Amino acid sequence: MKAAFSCLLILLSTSLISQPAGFLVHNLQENTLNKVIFQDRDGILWIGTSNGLLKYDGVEYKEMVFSSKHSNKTVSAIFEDSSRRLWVGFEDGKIARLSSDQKLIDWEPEEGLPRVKITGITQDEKGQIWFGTYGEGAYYFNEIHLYNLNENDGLPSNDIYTITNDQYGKIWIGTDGGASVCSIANNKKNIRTLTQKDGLTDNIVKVIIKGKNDLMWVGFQEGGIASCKLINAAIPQIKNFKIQAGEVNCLAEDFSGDVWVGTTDNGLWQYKSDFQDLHVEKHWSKYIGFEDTKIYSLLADFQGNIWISTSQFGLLSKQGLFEHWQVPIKNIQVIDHLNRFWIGTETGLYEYFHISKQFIKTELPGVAKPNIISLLNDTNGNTWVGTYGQGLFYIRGNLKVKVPGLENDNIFSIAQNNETIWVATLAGVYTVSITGNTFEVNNINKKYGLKEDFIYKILVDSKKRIWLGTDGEGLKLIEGNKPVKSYTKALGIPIKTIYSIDEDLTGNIWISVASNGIFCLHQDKWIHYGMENSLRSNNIPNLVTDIYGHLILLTEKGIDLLLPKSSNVLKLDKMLDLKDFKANLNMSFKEGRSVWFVNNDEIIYCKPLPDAALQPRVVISSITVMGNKMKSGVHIFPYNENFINFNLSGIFYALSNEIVFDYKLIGHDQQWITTKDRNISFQNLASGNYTLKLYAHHGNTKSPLLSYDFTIQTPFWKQLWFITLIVLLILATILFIIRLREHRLQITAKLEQDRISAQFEALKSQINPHFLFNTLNTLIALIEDNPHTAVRFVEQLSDFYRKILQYREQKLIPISEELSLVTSFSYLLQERYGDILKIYMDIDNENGFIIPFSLQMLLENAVKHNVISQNKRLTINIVKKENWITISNNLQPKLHKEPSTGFGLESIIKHYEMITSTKVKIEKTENMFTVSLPIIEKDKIN
Amino acid sequence: MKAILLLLSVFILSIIQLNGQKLFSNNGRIDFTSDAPLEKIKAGSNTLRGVIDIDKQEFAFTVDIKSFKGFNSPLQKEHFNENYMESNKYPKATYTGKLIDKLNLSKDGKFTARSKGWLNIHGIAQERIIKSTFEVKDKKLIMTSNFTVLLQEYNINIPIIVHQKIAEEIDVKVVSEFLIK
Repeated sequence: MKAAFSCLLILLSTSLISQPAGFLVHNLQENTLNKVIFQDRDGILWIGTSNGLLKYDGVEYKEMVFSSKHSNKTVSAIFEDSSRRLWVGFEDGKIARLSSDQKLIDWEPEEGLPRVKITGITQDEKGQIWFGTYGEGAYYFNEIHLYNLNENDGLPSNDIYTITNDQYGKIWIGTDGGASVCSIANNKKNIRTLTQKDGLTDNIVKVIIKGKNDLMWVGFQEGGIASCKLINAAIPQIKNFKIQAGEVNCLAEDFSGDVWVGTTDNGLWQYKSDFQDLHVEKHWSKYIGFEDTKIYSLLADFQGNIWISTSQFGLLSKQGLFEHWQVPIKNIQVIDHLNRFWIGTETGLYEYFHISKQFIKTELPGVAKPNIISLLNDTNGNTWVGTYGQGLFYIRGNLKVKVPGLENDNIFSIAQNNETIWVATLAGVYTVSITGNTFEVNNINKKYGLKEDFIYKILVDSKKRIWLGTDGEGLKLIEGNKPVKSYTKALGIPIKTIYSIDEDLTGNIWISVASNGIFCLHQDKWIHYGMENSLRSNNIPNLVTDIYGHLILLTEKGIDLLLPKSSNVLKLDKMLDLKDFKANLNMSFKEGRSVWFVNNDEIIYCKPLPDAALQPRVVISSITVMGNKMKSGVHIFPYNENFINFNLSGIFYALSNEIVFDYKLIGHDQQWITTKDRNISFQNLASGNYTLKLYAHHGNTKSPLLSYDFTIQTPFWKQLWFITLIVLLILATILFIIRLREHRLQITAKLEQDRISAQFEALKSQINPHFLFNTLNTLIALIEDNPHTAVRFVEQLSDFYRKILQYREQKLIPISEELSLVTSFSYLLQERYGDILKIYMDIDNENGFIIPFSLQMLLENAVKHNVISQNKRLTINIVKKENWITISNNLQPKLHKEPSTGFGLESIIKHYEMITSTKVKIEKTENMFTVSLPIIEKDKIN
Repeated sequence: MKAILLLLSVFILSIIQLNGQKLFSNNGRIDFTSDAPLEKIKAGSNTLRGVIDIDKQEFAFTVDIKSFKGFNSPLQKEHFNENYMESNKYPKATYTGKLIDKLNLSKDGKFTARSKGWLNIHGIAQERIIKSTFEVKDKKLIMTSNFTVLLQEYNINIPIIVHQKIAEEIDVKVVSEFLIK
């Protein structure tokens, strides 16, 4: 293990690294400082700036809107609690929460807010939200009240630099007086403060973060960093690490357990970790040009990326899969640094010395330019070096010897089995062992029945079985004294030429077969992966397994990472930016957690990441309906708001621009649709239930499926209540029409009745005894005095009655007929009254019609209701003008009113109403009474 | 009892501490409102006494439970005293502690300040933060506080049937006037 440390030590030593690859610069808002970086459970990044809060998914950022005015918009803390509420603390003590429609809503607890900077927000095991402040101690909120914990309660200081929870939900608070571990039980505040007395190197605790394995990392102002564990309050486990970085401002621990340190004025540092020991620091900043800058915030996200917020360069990120190391030596072909650090090139062997931080060329006896193609550091501290055509060399300390007795000088692979070294050559396999200074070399080809031909690879597995990859003869297995087992076919596919063999942590043997992809021998069964599984090539010169069972496949087309469980393949070289990558047989080296490989003048250190970290995530960032942003969690949309837009975020920060979305709207789409567009829209969706199924992927690596159910409401006219209403309305209308018709019929019947009554009335009046009596009296007088006139009188009388008989059944009467009737009637009246009654007629023409007997009835009324005497003469004028016939008389009503039904005039009015819209006009002044009857054109009758 | 002792000690301490500027109030107003679905109960007292030690940022307030008046019926008051508050056993409610924010008495004006202390009701002391509005005017300091009290927190148990008539959260309003010497 110690050997591994030193190798790491060497590799990461600062002076060697001249080009720190893999840093991405994220251009967010200009002129704002990114103070806080936080990742929520979806993977979305929240960045607290000097100007508010940004939401960032690797491609675009959105500025969150404040719901009220903030004089100080500098965000100083961000936290997402267990119920997914996002809390944002500000430098002036204000606290806001993000609403479901993504607005910053001020939080206003009854107890009031702090007046000093919020330095951190976290949550304890009871779900209480904690706020650290710089000046007022800590506050905690139990969803009802806000409580305080400060110096009076035993906190070393009210000035809190940092606050965080551990995996048990205890709250760790860093102040000038140490690290205080706090909890609330039964209203009692428990505080246990770790100080220098407990073994901390410094009491000024600037930052505390949660690490792996119950561990808390503590960063000091002067004392470097320490790991703390407090399972038993009496015996804290503290381990201090002195570091060069300086004043710690922020910390992050990545997947491999490396600790990243951001300082107040000395840039960014990385510390390697192994078994809870930290070693070797790497001052990244020096090589990126932000050496003296302040690192505001660090974040290790769940996809292995490290996020760095700097004062000078804004937001940076670094993918966590690889670290590059460019060295001043070209054409590197092999690497092994299990004990001594060796690299071999086409023309020489080099050893790296970490003290001088230099590669020194090691001369091999008798060869000027050895072409090194294989290397092995054995467990005894010796090194075996294989060349192409120049034999095998043995190095112990400063002793370098060419191993004698090998019949072939082309050494392709070297492996160790206990004290025996197995060597693969272009003419079969040899074993070498050394006693003292004497080598014992055995040609074992005949013993095992092997052809003396090309052997590319020897692997000694964890069960001490020996696997041989041959050229043309397939895979050979040598297990103790058993006969050699040959594999020449797997799953019906010939496996003849084997380039590379490796064993994963669960004991599966993986081989790469020339032109036929890779095979896995899993409990005596073969599994095959090839281009049909999205591998870029079936010709894989080199394969290596990592600790998660993934396969790193080095091919001429690039580097694929195969995740056998999901069959996902990641194109690793896209994250690496390798120059002229060439795949070669022995270019990789595996040690502990990491895999190394070389490419010309680069050494690449590959830190494995678990499956989940390599998988993208998909998030629906926002939903807009008809252009309006919806609150999250809304699933029902009105029928007329069916223009729906989903704004998507694919979370895979290392390859943000490679993200593609697959979606299918169940209930609308028949097929999956693939798009790079981050906005997907649906128009004119019919009402009904829909489910949006959604993936994000890079290459063939898919995110977990996201489902979003929503409903477009049935329009109201298709809903039961509306249909019922409409049916009721129609029924009501029909009923109304029936009623109206009935009513009309009734009126018509009534009018008919009225008409009959009117006729009856007219008849009655004309044959009424009084009229007859008066008429007959007049007649008697005439017969005696003037028989001639009497005859005329009787003629007029009979004429009058004839007309009545003729027209009584008619609805209308021509004016001429009515006038002749009136003339007859006038004559009768004139004879009776003489010159005390004057009737004048002024008729311009005789066209048109009126109601039968109406004029006669009015004339009779005039005579009946007025006094007619020598002193009070009655003058009646009948005038026809244009469309009116007017009958008027001077008004001199009888004092004793004649018994009258009043029926005459009223019946005339009603009659007219039935026939025409023009109304009868009645005018009554002090001394005149006028009735005007409208003249009806026969064709204008209703 | 403990709270009363604490209160007394605060009083005594404040008297002994001669150099400290202390403000007293003897007839502060305290009102509470219980706004339940079926009934709104309001009652208040004019006998809230308080002291604030400006230099030490300490304070103490006390009120007699029996001095509350203004219930909807005499029976209600009896229930309040006997069944819920048990005022024979726990005659006083107190609030003692320290100010979080400083009081600025040097000039007239309005400001808010928070206090942190133990609110003792029904014999149970709970730590609370109470935000108050202060107004300095004509050599007077007028303090107004609004806060809520959860009955459950103070072990005041209400039969379920009465829940409709008594709110589980009681709104309290305090107005105290102090003379600035």
